[in-house]
Amino acid sequence: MARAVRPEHPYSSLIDEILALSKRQPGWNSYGARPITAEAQLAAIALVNSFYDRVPLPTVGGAPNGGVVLRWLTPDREIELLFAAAESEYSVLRRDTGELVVEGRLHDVDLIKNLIQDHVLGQRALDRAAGRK
Amino acid sequence: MSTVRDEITSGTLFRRIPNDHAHWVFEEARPTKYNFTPETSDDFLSMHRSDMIHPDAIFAMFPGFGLLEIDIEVLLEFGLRVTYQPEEGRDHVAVWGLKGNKNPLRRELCKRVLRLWEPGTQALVLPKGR
Repeated sequence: MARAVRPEHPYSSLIDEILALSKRQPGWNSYGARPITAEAQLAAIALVNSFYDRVPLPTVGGAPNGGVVLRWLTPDREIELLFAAAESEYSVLRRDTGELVVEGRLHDVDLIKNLIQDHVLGQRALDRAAGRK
Repeated sequence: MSTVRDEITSGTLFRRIPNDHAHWVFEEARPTKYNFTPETSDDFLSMHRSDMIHPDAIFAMFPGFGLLEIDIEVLLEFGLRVTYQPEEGRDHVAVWGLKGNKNPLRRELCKRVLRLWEPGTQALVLPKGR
């Protein structure tokens, strides 16, 4: 009998990584870091659930204040989002010089989507046009 | 001999680096600003005096953690203060002035580290000019 196979969500491993941050105990950074908050995890997962299959996978980490960090490296940009309630923020840097392109507080979902569109997907579109993978 | 809360103006300091993508960019073997972010409960950043402990002793106590070394003169150049506070450990110092919205400064400090040991492997890597 044929078994139905449920296709895996393309971002399920990313969501697993975000959820796994909750295993970290207080002081996980060997100093006094806070545990990763559920609020930060849910905010990061809400963003991931809005992704579609063109959005590349970011790396996932924890911040000392209990926040969740998502980071993309494109050929020339480093895009970082910190989900940490009122301390949520974003930054975009040039990878070759470390020069700041833009940074600010993260308080608006549309802002996050625009950042990804302009700096993550925008760069990919340029790469494709230039014949780079 | 230094005493409690003496200001320190020369030498180098170590800070442990968690094996975590927020703290270390593995693709480029470099630390991030989160290594210069004080804990929420502290007004200062804790570091080790390098003249009082060897990296190997830190690695033995904290398996899997990386390490960065920075010159105290660099910290002073950016207007920070360094005080010796052995009540939290014989080699413990506090770096003052990194609390709050100091991301540009934290990123500059990342560019000025002297030596780096990669989280996970604890292998010495050369800092890259950015």
